[in-house]
Amino acid sequence: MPTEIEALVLEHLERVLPEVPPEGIGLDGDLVADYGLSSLNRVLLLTSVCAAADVDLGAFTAEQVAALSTPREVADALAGHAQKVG
Amino acid sequence: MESVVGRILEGAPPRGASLRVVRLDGTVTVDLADLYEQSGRLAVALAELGVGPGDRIGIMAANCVEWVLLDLAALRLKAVTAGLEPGKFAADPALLERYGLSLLFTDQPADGPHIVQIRRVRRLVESVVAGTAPAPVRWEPDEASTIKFTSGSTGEPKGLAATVGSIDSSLNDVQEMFGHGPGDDLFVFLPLSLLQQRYWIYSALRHHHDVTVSVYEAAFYALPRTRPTVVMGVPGFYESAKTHIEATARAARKKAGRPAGPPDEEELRAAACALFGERIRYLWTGSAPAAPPMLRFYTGCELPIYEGYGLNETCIVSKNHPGAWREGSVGQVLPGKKVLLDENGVVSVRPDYPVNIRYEYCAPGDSERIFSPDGTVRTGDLGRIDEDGFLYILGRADDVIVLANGRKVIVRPIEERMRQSPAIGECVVFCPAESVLVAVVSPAGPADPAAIARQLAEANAAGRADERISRVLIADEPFGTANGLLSAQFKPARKAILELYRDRLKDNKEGIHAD
Repeated sequence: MPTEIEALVLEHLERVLPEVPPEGIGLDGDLVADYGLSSLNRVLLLTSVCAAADVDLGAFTAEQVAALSTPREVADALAGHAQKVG
Repeated sequence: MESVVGRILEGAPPRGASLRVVRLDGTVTVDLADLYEQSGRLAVALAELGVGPGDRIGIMAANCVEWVLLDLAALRLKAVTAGLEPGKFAADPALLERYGLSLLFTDQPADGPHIVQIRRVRRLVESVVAGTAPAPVRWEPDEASTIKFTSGSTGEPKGLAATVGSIDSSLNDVQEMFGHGPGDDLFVFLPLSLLQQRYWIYSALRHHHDVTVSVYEAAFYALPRTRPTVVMGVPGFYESAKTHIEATARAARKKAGRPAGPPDEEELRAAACALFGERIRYLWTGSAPAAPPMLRFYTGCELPIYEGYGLNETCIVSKNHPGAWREGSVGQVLPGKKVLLDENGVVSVRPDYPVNIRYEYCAPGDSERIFSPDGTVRTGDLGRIDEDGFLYILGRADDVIVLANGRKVIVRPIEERMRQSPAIGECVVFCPAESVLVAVVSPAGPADPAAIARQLAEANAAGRADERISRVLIADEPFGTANGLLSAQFKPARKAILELYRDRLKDNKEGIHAD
């Protein structure tokens, strides 16, 4: 079972991939290579998940943002900063 | 013609308007009057380091206040800046040698003579007594204040010295169209190494409006927080934002318990407003062709979006604007430019104030291919002008394929038909054999061969017989800036894509075949 924050990341990823059935989206897929997100959409995903999890995107460096390549890595990065989820 | 640069250098602007720099590591706001004063002190400090008129300063760093200060200080010294995009160049002594740089300021790990960490700019400013300024200077229209480099192509970037007259002319024409002024806040996130992004700082200093500078990693974080009135973007940026807006609106509809179905205009407008802020006056797009559905989407969201046309070599040539806008066109030609069409419809541009008449750095023959001695630029684009003077760009002359039957095919409309599918992010069409068109598609999500095959059938049905795509190759990895298949302005890098898929393009067994 995904953690609460992993589920949040998956939910936001599913929103931008309406053509893909939820079972086709996993925590370890590559956001760019597997899910076809543009670099800007990857930033947008992180921005929106941060907003939903009440995490300031400013908690991350540009290098950290660039290094996040899977939903699990996004969730792990957020987990350290999350105050609330939902 | 008023010299915008000249007016800026006459003295500090009135207090009240600001430069705000928003990055993930923090936000810095500085009143433009203070910015100007600090640029004067920096100019004095640079002069003490030996920088004088005509000397070149390289700047290779992510957008930051120090970048802006260096650019203004160079203008105040009549020194020449060279904006170098991090990742495209290496910060090493060979770079200084190659481009004749007196100093290189960078945020990259680098060491060597005359290489300075850009964070040292603060200390240089503070090393000079407040209020100190260099002697006034005057730039002539034909003098170059900066070197800009072409981006996105393979091989060595070409360097082009841009004249102050070309900057002044474009800024005056833009101001005539859009009337930027107090109350406006122009949002910039593309690299300041692209000269046009610095235009909006010059505009702020001249017309006393705010300007917000961000970086692409923080752009969508910064937008709703800074609530700009104008966003300076490119089609790839707006396409990404559109995907997000649609996703947000769908989620909001579901959460509100409304009946299943696509979001309505009000839901889309609310999501767009949440992303861009509620003060948007207009969205600027240029540098690459924008897809008509994307432009219509923003218009439907009550966010006017204005497409224009220009090259590094020409500066801004034409622009749609609130006073003259026509769907499908790139606007009327600016007063300072003249567009000439040859018998094949190839566009040449003659500016009143040319950017230059040759490249500063290029392969042998490049300058002669592009520039005429009088400054006319052969763009290589195909265009037409309607009876009201609106310019339409139809594609690249290089992308015109002459088939065995003699018919000419322009690939851009074919590519746009393919991109109508939500499964397709980008499409580039090639002609590996004399009458066979093959497309390389970068999926918009996980590759969906069935959806791509459906779109192939639709595109072929909608086009002429000689516009038929025989096969589609699905890219192994999406086109991106990191793999060099998109330019810094998010345009497909055709040459790099062709190189990568050359063998498969020729192999008739490869790809999804048309029925």
